[in-house]
Amino acid sequence: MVATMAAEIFAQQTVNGLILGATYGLIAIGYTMVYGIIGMINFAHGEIYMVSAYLAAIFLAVLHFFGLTSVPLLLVAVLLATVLVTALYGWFVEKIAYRPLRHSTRLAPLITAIGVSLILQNYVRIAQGARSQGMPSLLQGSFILPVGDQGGVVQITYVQLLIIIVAFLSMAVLTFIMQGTSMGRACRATEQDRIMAALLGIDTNRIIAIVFVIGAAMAAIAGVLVSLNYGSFDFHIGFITGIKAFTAAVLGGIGSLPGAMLGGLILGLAESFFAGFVNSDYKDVFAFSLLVLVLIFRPSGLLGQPQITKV
Amino acid sequence: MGHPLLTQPLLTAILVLLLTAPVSGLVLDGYDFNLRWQPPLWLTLIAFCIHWMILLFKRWRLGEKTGKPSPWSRVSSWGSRPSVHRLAFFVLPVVGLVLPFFLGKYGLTVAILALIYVLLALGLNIVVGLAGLLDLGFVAFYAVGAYGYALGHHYLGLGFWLSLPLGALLAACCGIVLGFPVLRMHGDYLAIVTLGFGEIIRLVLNNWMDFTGGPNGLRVDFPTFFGLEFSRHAKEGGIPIHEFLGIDYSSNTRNIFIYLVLFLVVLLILALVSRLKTMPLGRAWEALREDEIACRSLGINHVTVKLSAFALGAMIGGIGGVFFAASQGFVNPTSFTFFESALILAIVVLGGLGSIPGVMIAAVVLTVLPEMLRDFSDYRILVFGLAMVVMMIWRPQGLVRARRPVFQGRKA
Amino acid sequence: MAASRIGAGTASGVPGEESLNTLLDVQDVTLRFGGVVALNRVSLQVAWGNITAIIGPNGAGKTTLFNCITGFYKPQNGHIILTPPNRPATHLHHLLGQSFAWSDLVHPGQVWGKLRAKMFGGPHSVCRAGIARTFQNIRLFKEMTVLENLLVAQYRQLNRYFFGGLLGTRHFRDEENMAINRAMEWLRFFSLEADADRLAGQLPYGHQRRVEMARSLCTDPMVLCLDEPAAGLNPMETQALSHLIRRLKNDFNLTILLIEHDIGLVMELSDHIVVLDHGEVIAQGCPADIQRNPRVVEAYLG
Repeated sequence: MVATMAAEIFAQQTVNGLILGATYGLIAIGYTMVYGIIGMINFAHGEIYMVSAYLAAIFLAVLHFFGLTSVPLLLVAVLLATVLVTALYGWFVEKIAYRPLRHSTRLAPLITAIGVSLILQNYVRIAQGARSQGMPSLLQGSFILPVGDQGGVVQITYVQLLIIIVAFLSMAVLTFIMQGTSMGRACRATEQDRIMAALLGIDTNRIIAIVFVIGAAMAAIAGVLVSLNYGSFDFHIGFITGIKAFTAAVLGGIGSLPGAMLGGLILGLAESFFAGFVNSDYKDVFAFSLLVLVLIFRPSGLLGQPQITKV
Repeated sequence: MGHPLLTQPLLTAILVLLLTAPVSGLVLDGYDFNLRWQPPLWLTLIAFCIHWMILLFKRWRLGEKTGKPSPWSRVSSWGSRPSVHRLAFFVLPVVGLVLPFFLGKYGLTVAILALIYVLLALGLNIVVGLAGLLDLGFVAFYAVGAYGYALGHHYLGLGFWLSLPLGALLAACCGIVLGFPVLRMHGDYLAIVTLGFGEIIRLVLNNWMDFTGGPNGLRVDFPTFFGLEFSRHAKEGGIPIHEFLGIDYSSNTRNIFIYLVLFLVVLLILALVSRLKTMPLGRAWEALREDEIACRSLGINHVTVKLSAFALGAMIGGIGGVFFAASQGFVNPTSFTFFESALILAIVVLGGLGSIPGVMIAAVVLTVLPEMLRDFSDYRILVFGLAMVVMMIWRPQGLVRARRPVFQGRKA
Repeated sequence: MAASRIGAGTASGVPGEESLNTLLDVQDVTLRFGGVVALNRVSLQVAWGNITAIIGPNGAGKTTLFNCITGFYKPQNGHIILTPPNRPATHLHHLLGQSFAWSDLVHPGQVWGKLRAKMFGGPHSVCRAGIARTFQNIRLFKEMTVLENLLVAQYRQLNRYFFGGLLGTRHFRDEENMAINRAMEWLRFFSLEADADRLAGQLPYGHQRRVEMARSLCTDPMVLCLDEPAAGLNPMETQALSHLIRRLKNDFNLTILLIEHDIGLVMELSDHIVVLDHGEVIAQGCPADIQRNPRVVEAYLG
């Protein structure tokens, strides 16, 4: 009986961990790409994700108000609108807070990033109120799968399935963009050597802006999916999720796209097993400790290249 | 095509309208929403005006002769004139010592808070301003000091005077333990590790109910003056100070006492920090901020030098924490959120990274001003964020630029 | 112009017989970045009191070799040994931290040394052993004054008096004044005394190059590694620089290791030339030999 319980918890936590990990992975892409291209931690990225959660709920309410009731149509419309506006946020933030500091000291962009995240957080708090907001569950129902031979079950909701599918689809599309298109090539060239890329006629400012936009769009997808899954959010969510997604990016090897997804999945699984089997109060502490440990013992992550200091 | 002075701001305005219309124009209400016309339109108008003014300013600057000093450089040169410094050197301590006797109960609380922030800002200034290490979890050391005192008092019965050095030492040790592995690697990681560490400390304080009291916090004993207590009635065997001195009981006496002790500590730390700036260690910190690789090529061990800055900053943060606990008589985890770290960082940034007088002025202004503008407290953090961004873009050296020492009396 | 040796002299003895002695011995150094072999079994000897130039086409691995010698890169194979006259030899690569091995169990005494090097070792230990360097892209502390730049370089000599410094004791002030005087002497040597209190970042390019040299000399080295000191200088400045480098060798008995593209300067100054190409030493010898070497001509022209 105990074994069945444990197996059930294990299976359920695996599912939860994968869901969590997929969203961390999506957000981590923003960190990893921005870091890859300008070598800077975009602290405001978590807040972009938070804004996207609000945007999703707002667009859903508006579309619903105008009489759109078909669920698939609603989902697609909300996703598109949220991704668009969030991407615009990403672009705007880069333009006013980071671009003017391109040739500044190393510390300056980090500080403006903190400033921007404070601005976004409190802007949303003032505009939308401090209480937590909700989002109706559009997709109800779930698959029930048996676990073991003693009648244990594991539940996978449709939303969770959707999260996994959309997460991997967006990863695939992004990988295609980065590997197969000329814009992706320009991005990778800029990542390798910004000055050289500029000399070869690549508009590096535009490329950097595009990277911010892509990161924000990925965070927006995560924001929509997470809000659909949990149904509630507040203006604080960006901070904690942001650090965890960064942990995922570092874990997978910062600068590497597959690494971000892999790191996200590992972190999600680790966190959800920790919460299921050890102590759910300390799951955030566990995630942060993991970050510190990874940075100390394997700063290049699982798939990243060790950095060579240029002298 | 229209006039560039108008088309560009117009584009910005449209963008801002697009961005703000959903978030501040449509306010969620359950699963429904309310429409608000004004906020996005105001924001759009403000964005338009700001962009327009920036363009005007740039044009004006282009037309201006380059040799003419801007009004801002005059401000900084005023602040760095030696006579002003000498005057401040004598006047400020006197004003600071006399001040508490003229302040009411509320004023004293604010003054103590302002001094604590001066202390914290001086500590963080060493780490961020001088050594160039971005520490986003400075509040952790503040918490270590405050909880060190509270827990020491709760479990071991330690008093304020013993807790002060112990708290400082404990915070410094935490700084070394955290810093040693982290300071060896790429600089930006430090920011996120310290951020994570700050959160770990807060979460542990919040969740470890049996030991720290969790969200309910812990009570702390108020300090005594050579065994004389500041309460109306002393505990068994003690003498309240008002009876000893033969004056009437006033609840202010305690705060005045804490203020004075804190003020002396601030002066001491101030002396220490300004001395360090002209010492080899302080120079090495600044050199590391400028160029780490060059420092290493000159035989400076970057890890130990950074560690000394980190530990010293942590120590000062710990002292601030002990004073915070002593003045509140109570600690709980809500005082040690990331926002506190961001506030202290904002102080250091606005005061000018590395500039001691600037940081002190900013600390006082940023703690006293919000108290005076209670009605706008909602906008406080927003304004801090804005100020950080604007400062970094417009004047990264801060309002008061740090002076460079000129060495006198050398055989030239 | 007979400026005395500044600071405590490390180089005793006179050039002559001893100048034939090898001061810096690079043996079979191999460095790979991922799959790329940046240096392949590079061996060279730097004789005491000589000027040795390393030349070669762009990307030949000259700066990489410098980075190995000064401890910024850790070669996978090979030895770099510094043997000062009348003193025990230092294995520079040991200062960067070696990996632990089973044999450490047999010699537990080594473990402590290895641990220490791993925790506190690095390029700074190499500098303390007596090798100073400049950088191809100048690395000054731009927001600090020139004098401060030079004082930072004397950190090792000064920071022994931490509490004395806090209290401002006389002893500390004397030390500080000595450091300032030492710095001023070097500034005078490079004719920079007028710039002492200016911010280093505001100086003209040529001055910055000289400040960087002065700064590295303040660490009181035995070997001075100059990475393209003449880059970006006009012919007159290059001529003055050549004169200064010669004086460093003659008046201060410094051993100089030089990377330079200006072949004229190299031929004029160096006692010994090492030619690198594709991470390998293709020739070494005196300037006249190098000029006649067919492989060198091929590497440069082909």
